[in-house]
Amino acid sequence: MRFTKSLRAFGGPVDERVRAETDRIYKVGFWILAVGLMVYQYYGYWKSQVEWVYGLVDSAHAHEYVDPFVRVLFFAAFLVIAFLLYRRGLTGIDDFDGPSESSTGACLNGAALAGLAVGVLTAAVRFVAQCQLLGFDRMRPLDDAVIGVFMGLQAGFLVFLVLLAYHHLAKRRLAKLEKDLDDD
Amino acid sequence: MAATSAATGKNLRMKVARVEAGLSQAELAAIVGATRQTVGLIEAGGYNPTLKLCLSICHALGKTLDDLFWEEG
Repeated sequence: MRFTKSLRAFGGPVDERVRAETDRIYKVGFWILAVGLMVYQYYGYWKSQVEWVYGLVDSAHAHEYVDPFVRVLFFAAFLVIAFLLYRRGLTGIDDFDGPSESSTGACLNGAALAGLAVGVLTAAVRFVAQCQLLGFDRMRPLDDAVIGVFMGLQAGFLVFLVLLAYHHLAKRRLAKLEKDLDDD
Repeated sequence: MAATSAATGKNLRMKVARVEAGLSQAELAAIVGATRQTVGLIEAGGYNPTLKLCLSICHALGKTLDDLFWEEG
């Protein structure tokens, strides 16, 4: 503790404006890194899938294109974020006391949006992977579209389940926070 | 908390209070634990400080929040 205090004293006063700007920089950097890593992983997966489908590799490990370390890092980061989101108590959705239909509706909207994003992203990265590995002549964009729709539906369903679970957990967390704040 | 003059965007009341107290921006910044740039930006209306910093500034200048930061409608 003394060492930390000495370090802080050496660094000078902590200015709230500088801290706010630094936080903003970290936030932007985090999103660039997180989204970039996600797209990188996803692209790596579909690139290996295209390689496998068109017989471009003989390796039995063709589907392990993406470094397992990066994969673990990626999931660990999002696990931490999920935990922090849970602890936050779900701000931004203020209809907790409303009927459960509204919660289901919000989850459905979120799932539809996620499904659409995943579908478009899947079709796009597979299209790029085909273009990179096969060239324009041998490309089959209809395959990409069909796979995109399939993956979008799958992702939409999974996201719906995750959002429902998250909603339920966050509701409990919020109730606990309210109970702790109760001053009657 | 609104800390600026509606006409100019500057917090002239804080600047006047600081000059009356005989402090430079750097001296006030050292007292309240901020940087000179932050104090300058508050006076220029370029930064909206937290309540904690507003209170520190008020204590340092011997003023109230109403004196330095309150604006009517």
